[in-house]
Amino acid sequence: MSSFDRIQAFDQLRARLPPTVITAAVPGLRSTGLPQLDTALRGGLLPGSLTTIEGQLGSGVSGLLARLLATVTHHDGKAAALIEQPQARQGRFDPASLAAAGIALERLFFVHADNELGLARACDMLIRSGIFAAVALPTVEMRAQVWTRLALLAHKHGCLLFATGQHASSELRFCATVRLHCTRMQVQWSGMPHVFSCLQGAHTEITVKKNKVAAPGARIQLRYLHKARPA
Amino acid sequence: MSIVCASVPSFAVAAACQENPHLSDDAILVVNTHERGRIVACDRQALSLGVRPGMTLLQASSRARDAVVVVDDPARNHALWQHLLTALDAASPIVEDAAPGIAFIGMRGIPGTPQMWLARIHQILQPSGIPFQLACAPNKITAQLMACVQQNCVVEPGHEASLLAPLPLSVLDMPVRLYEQLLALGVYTLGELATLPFAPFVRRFGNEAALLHEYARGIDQRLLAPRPHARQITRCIFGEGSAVSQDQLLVAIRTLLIDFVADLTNAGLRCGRLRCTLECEDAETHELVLQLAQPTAQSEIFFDLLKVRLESVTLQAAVIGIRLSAEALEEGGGEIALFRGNELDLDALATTVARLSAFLGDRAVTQVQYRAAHRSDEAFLDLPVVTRPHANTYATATTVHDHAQLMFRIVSARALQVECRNGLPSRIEQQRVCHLAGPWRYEQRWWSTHLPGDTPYRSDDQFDVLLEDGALWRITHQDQAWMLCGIYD
Repeated sequence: MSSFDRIQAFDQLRARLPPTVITAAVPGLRSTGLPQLDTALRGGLLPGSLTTIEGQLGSGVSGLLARLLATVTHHDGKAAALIEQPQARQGRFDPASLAAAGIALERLFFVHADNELGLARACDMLIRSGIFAAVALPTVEMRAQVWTRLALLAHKHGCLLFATGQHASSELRFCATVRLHCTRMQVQWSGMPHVFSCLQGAHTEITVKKNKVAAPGARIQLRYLHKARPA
Repeated sequence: MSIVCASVPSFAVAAACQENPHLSDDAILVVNTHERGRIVACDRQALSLGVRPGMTLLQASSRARDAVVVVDDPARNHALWQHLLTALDAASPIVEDAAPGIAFIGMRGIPGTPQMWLARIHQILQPSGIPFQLACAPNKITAQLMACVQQNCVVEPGHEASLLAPLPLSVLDMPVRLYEQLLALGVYTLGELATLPFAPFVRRFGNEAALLHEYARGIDQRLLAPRPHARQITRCIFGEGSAVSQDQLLVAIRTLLIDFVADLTNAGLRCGRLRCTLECEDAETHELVLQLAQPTAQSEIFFDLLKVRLESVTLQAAVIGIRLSAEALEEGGGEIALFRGNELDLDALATTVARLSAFLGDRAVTQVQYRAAHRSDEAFLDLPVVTRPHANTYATATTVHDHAQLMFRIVSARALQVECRNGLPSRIEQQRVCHLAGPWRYEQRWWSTHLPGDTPYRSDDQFDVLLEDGALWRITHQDQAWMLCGIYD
């Protein structure tokens, strides 16, 4: 049975299950701040878990990460750290967009690292400090031991660890508690093309590819809004 | 009648003249920079020729052609002012640093008459060569204003209002709008302002105006805020052997820290910045400056930070001397963690930042601070995390929505291969453009007469494009070149 057939079979099975089974939340999970995603994850994310958010550049990975960090910094009032590789192809986050997403900028710390070693060390130090409720880093190629170590550290300190990027290595996929995959479905524009047109937002399908604490396979459509950005 | 105001009309000019005494014969313009500078301060002669602070150098030079132009040196001015304030400590233990060039000296309880106080202060300040103007009055506003009117003026209690009455309204620091409104109502002097009925005046112009009305009547209830006295706490070890390994060095530092912290505790102080100087056998000196998240007097925190900071230091020879100096001293105790609630543990944050800085570099950990600006790249500043996280006044979205926000990611600008049809992009990097929004013309700093530094004037057209593979880009067209600005993700 191919993976696609398996997913379809699970979907059919899920459709036959009573709604109470589907929506039963797993205790101890922390809400993501997005009701649809909480439903898909059966309650939210487990504190101390490693979550991967995968998807092509432009599929909404950064937007979803920002939304999750906004919940941590703004709603929960805790600190978060964002490890970036400024010279990488995906560039760096625009602070204005982060603020528009609802992130409390005074509780968000940026760490710039140039290579994989720097990323891993920085992540290690940030989690160990015990003051960050969430740490996000790009999905870079690292040895299995590194990801295992980071996942264990996150578990020990109750820190939400997010790894975002186009592709997660097999080592990272193995260590991850939750794997989310983003696919851009539609882009919304207002007005006629050219000068009278304006980007309004987009729709992204998020698939729970793996979930160690609840059943995976759920799919949701998330709406992304665009706040006009000055040049 | 117990406050003396020592005032210098234009301190930046006075400081420049003190450094170059031959300048005092000509009109003097103090500018912030030589190239395309603006007037920071000018002397009375330049003012009479029509020069005003804020003018460009070109505008000022057209009015005062023979004026001498001096570049401002804020560091020198600050050092000179601090030196003068320290000298004033000889006159009274209470000296308030109101602004550069304005000091209030509390004379209550000092023996002598006001004339004797003024003579004493004049004697203290005379060697500096700075032309101070002194006045003694019962409160600060009267002393400050009368110092500008008459040298060595003494105001008896009860005579404040009558002495201030003839002064124009412009001597008070008030909003321009309020000033213009008062002029339009025929109020030109402090005396005329004082005669207005207080309650209707406050109802009409607000609480801020209440203070101005009191000043006009010679009433000032502000208390003197004495400046903190510079204290130095330093401990060092020299000539007691050498440390050739990390363990030996750490033991020496720990030993030294015990005495250092005892000094801090005895003085009832907390240290906000620790400077550690290591002297090696090969005459090399290494200086480590530790910025503490919050002032403390706990040796464990100092030791942890020093240990972390030493990870990035490579010493070529044995250490023969260690000096620890406390800076940014503060009085009082620290906040107890019990009452911090959800706030950050600043000590742990400082340790983490120090550790990351030691490994990744000084600017590796940053935080975004918002400031009001027209362009978003100027509005959000990447600042290193220093004493405490930067407060942001930027209004973030406060409501939890069931949607996310499209993220704009800033990428390193790279040239794109673009095929155009009718002047608009139709294919980018071999991919068909499915949708295009724009162009929007952006002209950099069109409101400004010059750009900072050597930045060339820039004007470009920007587009949001959706490519057939689903990528959503912002591209720019400038000087016949197409560049990628950022990606929506």
